Amino acid sequence: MTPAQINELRSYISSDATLKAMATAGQDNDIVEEIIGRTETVIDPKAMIGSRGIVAILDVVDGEAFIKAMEDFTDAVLEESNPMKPYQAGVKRQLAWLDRDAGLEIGNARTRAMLDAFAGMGIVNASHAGLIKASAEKTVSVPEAKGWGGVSHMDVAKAVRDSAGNLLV
Amino acid sequence: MANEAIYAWGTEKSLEANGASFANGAMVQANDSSYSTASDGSNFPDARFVLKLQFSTVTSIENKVIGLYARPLNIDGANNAPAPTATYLEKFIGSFVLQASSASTDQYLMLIGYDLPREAEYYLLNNSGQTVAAGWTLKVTPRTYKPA
Repeated sequence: MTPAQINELRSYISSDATLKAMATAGQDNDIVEEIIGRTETVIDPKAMIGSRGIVAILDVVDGEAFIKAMEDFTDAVLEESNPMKPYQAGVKRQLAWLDRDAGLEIGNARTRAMLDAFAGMGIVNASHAGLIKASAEKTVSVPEAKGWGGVSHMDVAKAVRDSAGNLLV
Repeated sequence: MANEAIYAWGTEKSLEANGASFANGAMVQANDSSYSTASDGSNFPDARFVLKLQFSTVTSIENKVIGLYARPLNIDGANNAPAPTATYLEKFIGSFVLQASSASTDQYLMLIGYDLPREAEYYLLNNSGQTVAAGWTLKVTPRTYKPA
């Protein structure tokens, strides 16, 4: 691990009562096993989804309904005061990508926020929006989620104690 | 038969009789005594080191190691080499490979050190992932070959 990652590991251990107690007891191997056994959900920012992907997730009927609801939104006549009106032109352009391999950037935070807004306003089905968003999510180990690659007992030693053996967490 | 090489052993010496506990990643000295191949080892170049130790927590220690390091002494007049630390790993002698023992159970580990410094202090680096309990010992027995 890099020095910056060691600092991140130190912060992670410091903020966790279970890990901190293990560090105090000198149980570095136990800390490694606990950390690698934990998982986090991460979003792939490069994840894309097209109309085929939407149908694969929601099935033909619900998938068609989802896409149709988005299309209907772009054709609707909205008041100027409607907060979703600025999205109509952009969504219409993005929907053109659904039938191409590129699709929508479902891992992108703005795209996901837009889906949440659509669901909140009843434009699309909220659970369907959740399923489509989940296609960009995956559950990985904590070291992978944090970008550490792996954690060894010697990484833990560097994180929790200084060279004189004083506890740092 | 005659003249084949056989082992010759010297007198065992204790380098540490009751070591303090030390954490994973720490380097500690066996500080009861240094070892001189000349005055302690009859000029035998090699030696057998035996480490006795135990752990209160033994999670995943098997096949991890305790490293043995030497600090050569009086190598230039009265000048010594730098002492090894957790980040300065010189001079490596060998590794004691740990077994998956039960908690608070002694294990006895051996390694052979070859071409040892004429005079040195000896240190242990804990690479086990757990804390070595107090009460560990380190002993050295000079070894060489001689004709039968």
